[in-house]
Amino acid sequence: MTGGLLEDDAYFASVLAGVRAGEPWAAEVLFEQLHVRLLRFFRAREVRAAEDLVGEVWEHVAAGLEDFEGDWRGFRAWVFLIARRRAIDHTRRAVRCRTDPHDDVAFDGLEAVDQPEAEVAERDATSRAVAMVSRLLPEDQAEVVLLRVLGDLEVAEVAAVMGRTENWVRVTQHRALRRLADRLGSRKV
Amino acid sequence: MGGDDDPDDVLHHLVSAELAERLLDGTIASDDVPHRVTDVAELFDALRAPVSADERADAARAATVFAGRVRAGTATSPDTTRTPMQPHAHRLRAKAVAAIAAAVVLSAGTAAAATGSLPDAAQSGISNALSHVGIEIPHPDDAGDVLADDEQDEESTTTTTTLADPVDEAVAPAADVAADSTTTTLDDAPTAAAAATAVPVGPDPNGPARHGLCTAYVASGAATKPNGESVAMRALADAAAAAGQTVEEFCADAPEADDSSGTADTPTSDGSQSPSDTAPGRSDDSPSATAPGHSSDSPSATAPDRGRDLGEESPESADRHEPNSGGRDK
Repeated sequence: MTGGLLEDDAYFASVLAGVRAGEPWAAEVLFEQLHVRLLRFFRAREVRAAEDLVGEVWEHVAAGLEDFEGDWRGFRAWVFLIARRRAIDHTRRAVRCRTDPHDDVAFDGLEAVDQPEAEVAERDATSRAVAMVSRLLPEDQAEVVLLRVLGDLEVAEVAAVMGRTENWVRVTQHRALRRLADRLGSRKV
Repeated sequence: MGGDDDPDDVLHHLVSAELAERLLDGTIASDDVPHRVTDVAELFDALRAPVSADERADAARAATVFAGRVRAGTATSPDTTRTPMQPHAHRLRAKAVAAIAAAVVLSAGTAAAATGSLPDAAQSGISNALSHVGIEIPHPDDAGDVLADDEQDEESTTTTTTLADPVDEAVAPAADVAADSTTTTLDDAPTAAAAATAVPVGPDPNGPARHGLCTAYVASGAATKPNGESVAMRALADAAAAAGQTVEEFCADAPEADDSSGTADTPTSDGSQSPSDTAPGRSDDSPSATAPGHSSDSPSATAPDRGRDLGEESPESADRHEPNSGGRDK
């Protein structure tokens, strides 16, 4: 994902000023770049709550707009930092409310073809890809891949968002690639 | 696996670090990658698929809402954003409060308080506590006032409370009821609460409740201890006096309840059951086996097997339910 004109610091500054003033055009510029990406990011983790979680992210963004300082890359990393925290909070809530816990490892690699929400999410290639990443990879690896591909974040930015070292991110993303290659290759056999 | 900590060891099985980076940042086309990672490249391409028209429209609508919220300054602080759990927790708290209130209402001590039979300190405490949830029970401070009112109001002699008149106990064994006259059930809570605000109606000793009143008179030991404070017993005594008889003589003439007279399942117009409806199949020597009637607005509200309750019911508690009784304000 590239931000196009937003990569230009001056243009991003004007967009940010417009968003802070509540200008719809400015908000549309940001949303065009981030809203769908956020939806895809959350759909990889929680299909049913994705839209609500995106709403939470934008609510936090709105609340923190005045304090934000930085360029488009920094803004994007900040938004995905919020998104990741929302996702973690959501997972914690789900765990607290879960009445029939299962060992995730036992279901690793299994396709959730019997889940209606998964079927809905896989109506197009993008949704299918998102679901596949979350299904084939352990949580950490999926998160790194999604932040790198959907969030268009660099290794250092992913490390900052996840509170890890850059080396950990590199190792994790390489494991993810290997695992994906193995799993996707075996699916064709 | 120590090798897992080394990216180069992992990549040894797959691809170079440079290619991995290009796969992840999308700077290499899927056609240009080694065959083994073609599927991975295609997967990442799918993740980066351009936004569809529908998605763009959705994003635009969301952006408009977002801008409006920013403009209106209604965006909440992240620290104060309500999470989905909070409404649930709110409901749980409400339920907990309701359950606690129900437990208080249903406690034996409260039922005893309803009859005004607790020590003043306890009576006062429970009275004050329940007054906050709209349930009136006697307060020691205003007993005198109510008694005074009671003496001036002849109707008060025919009233009684229905607070200790649970529906489910209509078929409770008399022994159980006598042993624990304050027992009630959860389902009774609404009845008790509603009854607490209803206008109580006392039994008519000359009517169908006569047998039951007499049974209660005997069962409660009224013959051996004063029952002057009982509206029901006072009504019975008054009726006996009016007939020029003692209570025992009056009761000796009381017709026994007739099982066949009961037209069970025949509700009254207001949905309650008629007195005779609710006295099915009880023996003469255990008349309180089934309480005859429990409607708050029927004479049978003073069930014989609840005689002890009624006997301990003070007029003031009944009067307190009168709208203009001059009882204690909430």
